[in-house]
Amino acid sequence: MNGDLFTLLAPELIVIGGAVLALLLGLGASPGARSAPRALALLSVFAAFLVTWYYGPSPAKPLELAGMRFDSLAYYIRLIALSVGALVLLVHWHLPHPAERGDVFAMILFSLAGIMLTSLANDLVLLFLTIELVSIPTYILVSIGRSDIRAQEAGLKYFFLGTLSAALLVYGFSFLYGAAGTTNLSRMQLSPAGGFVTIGLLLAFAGVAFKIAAAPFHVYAADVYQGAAAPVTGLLGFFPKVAGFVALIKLLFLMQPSDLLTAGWNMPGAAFVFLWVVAAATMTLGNVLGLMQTNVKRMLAYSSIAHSGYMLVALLAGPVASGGPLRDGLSAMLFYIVVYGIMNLGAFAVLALIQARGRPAEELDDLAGLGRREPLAALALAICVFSLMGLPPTAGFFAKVYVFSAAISNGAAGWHGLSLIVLAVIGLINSAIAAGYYLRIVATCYLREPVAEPIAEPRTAGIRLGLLGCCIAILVIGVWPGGLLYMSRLPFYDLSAPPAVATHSNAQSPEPAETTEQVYAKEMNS
Amino acid sequence: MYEFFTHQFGFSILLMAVLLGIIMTAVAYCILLERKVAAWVQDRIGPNRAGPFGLLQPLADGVKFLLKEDIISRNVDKPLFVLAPAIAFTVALIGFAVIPWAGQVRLGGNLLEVQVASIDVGLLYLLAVGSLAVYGVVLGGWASNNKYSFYGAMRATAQMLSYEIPLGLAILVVVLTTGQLRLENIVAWQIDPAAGGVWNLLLHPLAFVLMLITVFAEANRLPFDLAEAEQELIGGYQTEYSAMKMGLFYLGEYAHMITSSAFIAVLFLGGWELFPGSGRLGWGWIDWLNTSPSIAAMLLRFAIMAGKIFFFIFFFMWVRWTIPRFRFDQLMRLAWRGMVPMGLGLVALTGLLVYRGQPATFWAPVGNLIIVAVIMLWQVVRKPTVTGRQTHLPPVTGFAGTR
Amino acid sequence: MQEVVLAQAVSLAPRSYAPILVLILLVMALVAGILILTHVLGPKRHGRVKDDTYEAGMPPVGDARRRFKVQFYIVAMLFLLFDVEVVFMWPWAPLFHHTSVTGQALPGGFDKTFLLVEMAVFLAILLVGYVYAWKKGVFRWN
Repeated sequence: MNGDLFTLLAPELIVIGGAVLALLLGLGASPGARSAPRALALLSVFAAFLVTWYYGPSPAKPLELAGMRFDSLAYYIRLIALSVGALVLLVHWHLPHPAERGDVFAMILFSLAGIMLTSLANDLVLLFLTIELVSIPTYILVSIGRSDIRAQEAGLKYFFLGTLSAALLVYGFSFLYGAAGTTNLSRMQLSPAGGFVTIGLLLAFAGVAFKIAAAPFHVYAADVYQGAAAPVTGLLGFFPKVAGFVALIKLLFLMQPSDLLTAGWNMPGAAFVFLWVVAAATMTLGNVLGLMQTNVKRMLAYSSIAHSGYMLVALLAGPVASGGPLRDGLSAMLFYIVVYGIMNLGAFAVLALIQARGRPAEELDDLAGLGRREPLAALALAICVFSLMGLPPTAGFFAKVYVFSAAISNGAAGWHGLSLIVLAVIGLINSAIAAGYYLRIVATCYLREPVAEPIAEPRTAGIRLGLLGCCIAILVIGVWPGGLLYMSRLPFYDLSAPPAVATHSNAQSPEPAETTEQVYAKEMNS
Repeated sequence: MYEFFTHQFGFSILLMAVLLGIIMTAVAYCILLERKVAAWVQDRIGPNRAGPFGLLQPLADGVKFLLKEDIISRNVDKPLFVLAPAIAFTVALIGFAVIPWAGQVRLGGNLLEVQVASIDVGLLYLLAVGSLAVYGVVLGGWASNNKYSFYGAMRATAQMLSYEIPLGLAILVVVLTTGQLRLENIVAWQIDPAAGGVWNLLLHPLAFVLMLITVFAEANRLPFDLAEAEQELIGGYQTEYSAMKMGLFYLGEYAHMITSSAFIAVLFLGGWELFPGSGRLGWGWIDWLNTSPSIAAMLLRFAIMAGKIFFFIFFFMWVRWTIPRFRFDQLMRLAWRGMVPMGLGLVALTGLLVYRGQPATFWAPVGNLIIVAVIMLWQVVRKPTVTGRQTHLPPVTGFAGTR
Repeated sequence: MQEVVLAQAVSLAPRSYAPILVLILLVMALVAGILILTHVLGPKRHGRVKDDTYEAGMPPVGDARRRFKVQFYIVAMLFLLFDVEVVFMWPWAPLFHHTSVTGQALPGGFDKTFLLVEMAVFLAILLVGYVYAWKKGVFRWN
């Protein structure tokens, strides 16, 4: 009777099992045991990916079991988390001291499992726990194995602020629970008019805003990104953000009428205004502060804040019942987050690869003349940065197109629609501002004379492979965005579908309903 | 008025008053007994001036405690400083509420439990109250703002926390075996041949030993008294205390010993049963003694229980004056690397026995022996742990060195 | 007569926590009395040196609340982990005993095998933490 749960959760169980094994193997005395964790971690991620792929997206009626909901959103998030997770593992390949390999790779896997479980969570308690499962390993990763005082500061700051945000989040959840009387997300039909709902949502949004580094909860980001090792920073740009945005989606869906989604979200006015202001402030602050930096890591940290702002724009635009992919903000956001995760990881992978003055490159000066010394690394950095900027033919271009077109063509009635258009304009202006510092990075690589003799660290096949993967992904998605876009459209169809509830006593498989793919294909044909 | 005491609540109040009196007196005499036992072990006479055989000594001690100057030094955190002995004493004296002393008694036609409070989760209550004891110690040490007190409190906290885990596991073995969280039912299970009819001591001797050791550690008694090791820490967390505040710590320690002894007697020694397996014999007077609700039988049961408690208290003192103190690293190693694995092994063993549907079988003590044998074997086979001062000595080899 | 009514009223819940509450209040009153008595009865003589912290007769140096070994902190964290584990097992134990000895499943179809496996998984997770702490040398105090 509980066998269902074990098979359904197989990908998560594989990842967690791999993490536990990696943790224990890393403690072994022999060098063989100590080098096993990274191969084991990669292997478990591949296995989990294959299992997820084999299961395919859920049927049109998603299954609900044990506080979890096995729907297409979970399918999509699992796939992207595992794919980007594999790249993250490669980028970390040479980072940790052999004695800490077990810990580092186990933490990455735990965090990854946390993301996958966040996408499954259908209960406020489980949602909170899974978000924390994503966050807590990242606190450890920031400062593990680093004696640098800035790393210690970063770790401590991140930990304490993270705890604060967790408190805000769970406090908000308690209000939502008070308003609904249940913690089961499917059964929480919240009315946007309620005062408790508004307070709860605002508190929960504030907690999530920390995870995604949105203003005004972004202040830690620059210090933490600078203090952490470059590969870890690449991870920080993806893992907590995915968890945070998935949580936002789940929270926003609490107030949607169960049958049909019209244009945009049904949410309290205060929450809309809050998210609007946060999105605008996040984009603007991130980019303006980014312009003032000379440290590449800090620059990319502010760019990370700004990109959270773009994603918030797409999220605010929300799902649209009719119309093509260009109008759907939800899929635009889900598309953007993958692309951002990859290009950000790629940029930090270059920083991890390049040595200047005997330490990993960090300042702009460290990169001067990189184009001549290490042309391949410089090219990879240029691809990633152009993608962050949003230039064709990179993936970043389409990501931005989808986001802003969704905001503009959302067509929501009244001031919602208008304010979204204003937001899109702010976003476009911001993209132009951002070009200022992104171009400075590329210009430093190619146009300036070397200051610090940057060289690529030898014998780092793992990072190189990961970087190659990032660049290929950026270019492939840039040329052919349809595949990822199709995947990111999947969750749209069954997030609002009524679930097939399975209880312990009658766990019959739901009658063969139309799969999401069939529904999607039908819509495309009509 | 009489009728009030024939109802459970009234009887509980009466029992509470009587027991409080008995325990307060017993605690005072425990201190005398301790000195007498020490004298006996060290071949001295011990206190003999106040009254015949020094029997009035506790009275003299009490008066002296009360009349001494109550010093509160300048640097202490005053509210916490006063609160700490109060917590230590209160916590030690409220634990006995759930101990079943003598089964049931019939008064005025009502069948009453000889127990202050017969609650569903008596075991949990006793453990929760026991865990609170650490607050008295740690607050006392912290508030004193004295380095001896502080180190004493740190040590005591680490020690009490560490030994609480094997304690919990040992008790869990009993709970698994009997299936009860209510203390009087655990005793009944050990007496009633239809349920178990055998003392847990005979089923799980290893759990009994674990429990005994942890009770020593929880009470901060030698050989686990590192918190107040006189030679290094003066008085540990009690250094800054004087007059009856110090007296409260003492009284709390002995009251804790009495409650713990009663707890062990209930969990492992069949509570008020005279000898193990007596319920199986079918002898009339034994059955009368075990179950009769008459007042005479109740008093006899109470006497048996008191005898068991007295034995444990004497044992505590005997050990105190016989065995030297542990070193702190040995102390922590014993808890975390010795007793926790043993406790986990025992729980696994008991779980399997219960799974087979027969918790009270001959295989339980055999399994205990196997666990002990495995641990001993492992201690012999593995590399000897070299710690502390031994690092400066030449390596010791052979069986005696493999510790 | 009045006390009989009181006794009957309280005896409606004969196995209640009421006596414990009474006991706690009683003992707290006792403690307060003792503390006040000893404070009032004893002599009071203050002095600059006498009121100082005792440090084996030497003038005290600095504050006592200083940094201490981090292992105390780790032990406290491990205690939380394991104590919560044991607390989880206490309610489990009677239920497991019941299902195993009587052979009846709990409501919802949870039989003894299910209970055993659940607890084994739970223990295995904790065991990983235990082995990790052991191998990291948390229990080594030198």
